[in-house]
Order: sequence, then structure tokens, then C-alpha cells
Amino acid sequence: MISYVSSVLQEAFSMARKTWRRRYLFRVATLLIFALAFLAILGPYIAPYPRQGMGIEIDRARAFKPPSLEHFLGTDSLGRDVLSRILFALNRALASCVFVVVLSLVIGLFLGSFAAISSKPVEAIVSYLTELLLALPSVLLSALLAILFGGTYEAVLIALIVTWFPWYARIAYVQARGLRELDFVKIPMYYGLSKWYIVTKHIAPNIVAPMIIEALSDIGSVALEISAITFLFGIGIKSIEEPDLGVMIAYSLRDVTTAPWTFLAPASILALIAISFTLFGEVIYEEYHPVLRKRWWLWF
Amino acid sequence: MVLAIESNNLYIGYESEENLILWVVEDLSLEIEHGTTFCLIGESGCGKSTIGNAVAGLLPPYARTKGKLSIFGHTVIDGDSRRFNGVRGRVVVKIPQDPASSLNPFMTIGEQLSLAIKHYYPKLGNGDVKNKVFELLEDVKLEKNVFDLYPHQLSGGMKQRAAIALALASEPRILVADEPTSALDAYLRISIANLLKKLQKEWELTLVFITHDVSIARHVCDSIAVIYAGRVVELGEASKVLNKPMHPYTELLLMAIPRRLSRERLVDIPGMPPPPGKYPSGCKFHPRCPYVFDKCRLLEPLLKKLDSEAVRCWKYYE
Amino acid sequence: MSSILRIENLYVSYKIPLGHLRYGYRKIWAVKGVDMDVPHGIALGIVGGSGSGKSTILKAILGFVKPERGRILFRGFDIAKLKGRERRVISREISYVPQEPSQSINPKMRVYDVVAEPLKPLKLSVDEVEHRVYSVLEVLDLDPSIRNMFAKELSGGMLQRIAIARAIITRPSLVLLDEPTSNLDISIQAQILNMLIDLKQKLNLTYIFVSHDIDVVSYVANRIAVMASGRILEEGNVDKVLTEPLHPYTSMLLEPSKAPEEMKLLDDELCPIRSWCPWRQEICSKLYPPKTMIGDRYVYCWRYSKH
Repeated sequence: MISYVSSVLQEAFSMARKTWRRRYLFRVATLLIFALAFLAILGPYIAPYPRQGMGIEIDRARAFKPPSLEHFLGTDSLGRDVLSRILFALNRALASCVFVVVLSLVIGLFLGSFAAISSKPVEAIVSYLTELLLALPSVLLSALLAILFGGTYEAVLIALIVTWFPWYARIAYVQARGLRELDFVKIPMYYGLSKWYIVTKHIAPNIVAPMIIEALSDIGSVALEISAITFLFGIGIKSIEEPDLGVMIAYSLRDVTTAPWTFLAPASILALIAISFTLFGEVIYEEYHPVLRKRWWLWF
Repeated sequence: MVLAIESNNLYIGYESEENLILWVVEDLSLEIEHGTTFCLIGESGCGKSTIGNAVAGLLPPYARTKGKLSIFGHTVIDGDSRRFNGVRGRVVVKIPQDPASSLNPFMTIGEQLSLAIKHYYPKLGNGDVKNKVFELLEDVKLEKNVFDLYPHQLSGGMKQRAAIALALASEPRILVADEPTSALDAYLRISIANLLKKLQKEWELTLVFITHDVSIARHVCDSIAVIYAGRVVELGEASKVLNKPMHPYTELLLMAIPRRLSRERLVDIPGMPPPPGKYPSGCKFHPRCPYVFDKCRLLEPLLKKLDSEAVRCWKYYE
Repeated sequence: MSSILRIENLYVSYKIPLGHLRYGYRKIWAVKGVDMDVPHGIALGIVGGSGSGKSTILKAILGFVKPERGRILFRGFDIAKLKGRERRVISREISYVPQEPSQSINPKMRVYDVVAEPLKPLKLSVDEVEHRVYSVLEVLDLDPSIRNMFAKELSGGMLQRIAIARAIITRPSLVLLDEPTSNLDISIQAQILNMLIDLKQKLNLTYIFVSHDIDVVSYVANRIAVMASGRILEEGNVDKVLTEPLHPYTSMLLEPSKAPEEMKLLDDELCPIRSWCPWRQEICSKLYPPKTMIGDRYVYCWRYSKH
């Protein structure tokens, strides 16, 4: 089992390593991701004011203090340390993004692979349904679903999985459809081996590596979507005290002229997450599709 | 006689991942007379396509070269610098292995040929261009109605003929054919080979024919070079090399081909041809050679001239 | 000699989409009325150009494509009608070695797992599987130390041996070989061909060997069938077919240098070579010739039958 997982991850790792050797931008993106992950994991332990960070403690007397040695990023309208709040919010944001992406990847991978080797009607139904989900605007759909599921934060995550897994299912289906014509998939089917065996042994290991890279770069988009939902609709937020990037941005907007740090800090962290993960995936993609290299020239 | 292609201790390699250079072709010294058909024969991975690309000026940017290569006295490869301007496409052209990939699927054969002719002869009028296209089509034995057909409407053999016509549009003097028949059926192979031979005679071309198929080589070639592990191991007139092989590799290779109605057991050469970068020391064929002796394992023989042939084997150094 | 496989009046068609913007399919007949009898213990070679339907016959025997008409009988059982367990039993009796080993072996799997794969549905004990894998590797003269290597680390010739090892591990009686050597180098081709001949002797196998190279086929096969445009034109003993070919298409295959310049194979209900055949008659463009037996061989050509 371990050797199986490692052989699968090896290919994704070697793709990343090859890009690392060649592309400067990729190193920047990777180091940023590691830094963000590091901060997110350690955030709750290194936050200077954990109680304020969690939103349990407020101190109106210290509201709108500009950045100082005491509060590196200043304090917000309720007198809470912005840095502590961001560290808690970062932890929550990245954890939920990884949860959404990993689950969507697993569901999409298996659904797409099974659809490709199933009988014609099953294949048609699954592929049309996933395409139907793809056609709907994902932020609106997940907001709607989150309300239907009860409006909790978990509901937001489940709703996001529902809107994200079709992307992976679609990629997996297209790739697996190419593989099913090959003899190494046909021969075990001929010997009467189970579909589960064929998917796990023959199809998934051969298509998963580029999907893992894709999923990593999607973490940025998922972070944006979660924040957009909490920012726009406030769904999944029990109280405005909760540390969440979207809520923080939403409530700091009215103070943006008087205390710009309360807005700039969470906004730039969110931008950093989105840019670094997207860049990570884009550069690997460019490296493996040399035609697309330097396509940013085309923007000018 | 005019020498069409002359190479002197040419080395061709590719940059590998760790910034090492993988030498694929080593110590290549050839003299190909103009107006002859020269065959490069060898197994996959032996470097014969690399030689073909070097002659046609199609080496990728990450290729590295040493030595000298000249085409009609014009030095095109000198050390690591390659200057093919004015030679590539006009004097030397290459017919690719897969004809389908060299034809644009969204243009008719006639449009593609006209475009090529207009590029090389910008002064021609539309009528003249069209006449020239019909001449080319006739030369490669395609009917006139092919002018208005798209590549997918042609069969494999016809596509290969169209690709040959496209290559001839610039009226080149050297034609490099890289396995032009390997994607085709047995009977089409002979007809394409015949066509190339006929064109070589009529257009007075130098044809560099790269193949792994000995029977086609026997049919087409005047002289032949057998390549093994990036080296020429035997060089000479086709009839001599293929009927009285001198190098052990050529000898065994010819005995490994099934012959009609012969139930004699095929000779299988043990082991595999070494991939580039994993060439053994000494003579590159020694691990598979039945006549091996001590010297072969240590030192690599040079190409020794014997009458009209040249062999790279210690057996002939007495 | 009892027959191990009988093919009766087999028709197979493919559906080709009309185009990107049009809905519907065009039917293309890949195999048109093939009758074949494969006696036990022989090697039957099938030669023909690309698109002659020679590989499609193998695919129909394996069940990768469904026959439109006709039956395929293996030891008297109609293959298309078998389901579930019976189907799996038959699948272990007929095995398959495809053309391109790099596409028939999963590059992410170890050699041991590839070779042992057909035994999975049998639910044998680990020791038994191991024993069978090693004995197969021994029969093929493969070093047992390669068992832990990944397929992507091996060369084409080695992979083709692994594909053959996988094909014989279920102890089949019939092996279908689809151009097993046409992507290999000459010296490796000789190794594989010699190995196939030895294997047939050792394990008492029956082969159906498909190739476009008539010389390769004749080295391995006892009987040979010539195909064009989805039909068998002639079948017979190898030596006889090669020395005195009956069908004009066969003589052309044997001596391609004497073939006419424009060699079109027509794909319709009639004789495919009637546009350039040296012996064409009026009847050729009206009716397909019947099967004519001459000794132990047969041919479809009006030259040998009365009308």
C-alpha cells in the first residue's frame, strides 16, 4: 500500500522537481506556499493574543491602534490584534481548502474513472450530470446549497465539494477514456477482473499525477471562493467574531479610510494564497506544455 | 565526382538533465558522392535518425556537436556552431517518417504545394505555380484530382507521396528520407522505395535513405553504412555489404531476418543494442559478438579501409 | 486433428461518426463473412495489409468487439453467448499478445504483478501464484530478478517477453498473437520468433499469428491465410501458398516489385482486387466468387471455379 502511494506521488514530485530546477518563479511560489502552510499550522500556537484571535476576548478601549511593536498589524474596530486574527483565519482557510480539494479530487478521480469503464448508459448519465454541474456558476450554486444544507460552515465546505468535484471528474473521465482503449486496461477486463481493481491499479495511478498538481493550484481558487461566500452572504458564519478572511475583509471595508491596516492585512494574505497556489500550478503546466510558455507576452 | 556530404570526425550529442552531454553519434567520417543513394541502416536508438537530422540541419537547440560537416563544400557544422541558412530547405530537405504529421490537415494538397512553391519562387504567377504543382504531382505519380483533396482523404501511401512532393517543391539537391516506408504495408514499401529511386535518378539527387529494413535497403541503395551504437561499423557498396558482410554485427543481423521458405532457425544475437549513454567500453559490439577476444573488451577499433569497404573490427587488423 | 476454434460466417462492423456537426454513424465492415477452422496444435498465420480486418478477427475472438453476424466456436462453445464464470474459464484458455508492449503493460506496475494478473480471479494461494510466476519466467529464460522492476524501466523486447509470460501463465491452449514483433528491432525480432516456436513445442499451444510481413508469418506458421478488405482470399499450407499462390493478391504480396503501379483494394461486396487483377473476368464485377477447395487449401477466385 505504501509503495503504491509513493509510486503515485513520485511522478507528481518529479514533475515539481524538474520545474524547480528550471523556473525561478516556481521556486518563489513554492517557498510562499511552504511559508503559508507553516504559518497556518503553527498559527494558533504562535499567535500573540490567542483569545483575541479566536474572537472570545474583545477590548473596545484599544480599537483602531495602528501597527506597533505591541500589535504588529495593529488592532481592529473591536480592539483585537489583527495578526492573531489572521493567523487563526489562515489556519482555518487553508485547512478547509485542503479538505475541499482532497475530497473533491478523490470523488472526481473515482467517479470519472468508473464512468469511463462502465456500460454506455451509466457513462452517459454520469458525464452529462457532471457537465450540468459544471455549467452552473459555482459561487452562487455553493451559496444556494450551503443555505439548503443548513447554513453552517460545514455546509459551505460540502457545497464547495459539490461544485468542485465535477472538474476533477471531467479531467479523470477524459483521461481514463483515452486509457481504456489501451491493451493494459482491456486485458484485465478480458480476464474478468473487477472494475475496482482496474480503476485502482491501472487507471488511477496513470492519471493522478497531473491531477494532483491541478488540485494544488486549485487551492488558491477554493480559498477565494470560501472567502467570497462568507464575504458576500455571510453564510456559514455564526457570529462576526469568528476568524475568517472573508468576514474580516467584509467588516473592515467601512473602516478602510480611517484604519487601512484592518483591511489591507487580510486582503493581501488572501491575495497571496490565491497567487502563490495558482502560480505553482501554472508554471508546472507551462513547463509541460512548452507551446504555452511565455504566454503572458500575449497580454501586451 | 562532387562530394555532396562530407563529415570529419563528427560527434553529435544531446544535453541531458544533469547538464551532461550524451554523445549519441561518435567519430562519424563519411563521404557521400553527389547523385548516389546512400543508406544508413541500423536498429532503433543507434543514432541513424540523429545523423539524418544533422545532415538536414534539423538538430534541436539542445544538441551539441563536435567535428565538421560540409554540404557541397559549404561547412555547415564546425565545432559547436551550426550554420544552415540557405542550405536547410533549399539544398537539403527531409522526408519525415510519418507523412500525416508533415501535411496540414486543414489545407488541400494543392494549396500546400502552391504555398511551398510560392515561397521558393516568389516571382511565379498563379498559373505557373499551378502548372508546377501538377508537374510535381505527376512526378510522384499522383493523379491531378489530388490537388483538391485534403490529407485525410488520402491513403497512407498517397500521403507519403504528397509529402515527397512537398519536399521536392524547393528543387533540393539532397533528400534525406528518414524511414519513409516504416508506416506502410509491405507492398507499398516497395512502391515508395521505387518512386524515391526513380526521383533520385531523374532529378539527379543525392538520396540519404535511413531504414532498418534490409530488403528495402538492398533494393534501393548504392552504398551502405551499417550503424551500431552511434558508430559506423561497416561501410561500402550495398551489394558487397549485404552479400558478403565483414563486420560480425552485419553478418548476424542478416542471419536474423526470416527468409522465405527457409525453416532454418534464425540466429538471434544475444542481448540488446545498448542505449545512448550506456555504451560499453572497447568495441561497442563486444558483449554480443561471437568472435570476441581480449583486445575487443579494452580498445575500440578504428574504421579500417579494406579495398572498397571499411570495417570497424579488430578481426581485420592482422 | 480436432478443431479448437471454428469461425462461421463472421461479420464485424465499426461505426464511424459522420462528422463533428452531423449526427449519425456510417457503418464500415471490417470483417465480411470469414470462415475459418483452426485445428489443435497448429500455428495459423494471417497476413494482409493495414485495414484488411486481420486484427479485428482476433478482437472478435477475445470479445473486444461484438460480431454482427456469425459465430465463433471455441471447443464447440459459442463465445459470444457465454457469461460470467463460463466466460472467465474460456478467457483463461485463450490468451492474447498485442502488438505494442508499451501499451499492453501498465508502466506503473511491477513485472511480478503484471505476470500474475491473469491468475487474480482464480484466488490461488500466494505460494501457488509465486510458483507459477517463477515457472513461467523460467520457461521464457527470464532472470527472476526482474520481478521487482517497473515496466517503464524495461526495453521493448523485454516487455514483449513479459507480455508473452502473462499470456501463458493461465496455461492456455490458444494464443492470439497480433503483430508481436513488428515494432521490434531485427535482432530482437529473431529472439522473440525463436522463443515463440520453442514455446509452442514445449507447451503444446495453438497459435493464430497475425502480421503484415509474409516472411515473418511463414517462419512461425504451418498454415497461412491471406486477407484483404475483410475477407480471406486464400488459405492453405505455408509451403504451398508460398511456392504456388492461387490468388493473384497472394502472388502480388510475395513479389511486391512486380505489382502493378496502381493497386487499389475495393471495399464492397465484390472481389477487392478486380480493378487490377490480371485474370479478371466479367463475372468478377457481378458476383463474389464461392469458396473453392483445392486439395487441403481453398481460395475465393473465379479462376478456379465454374460459373
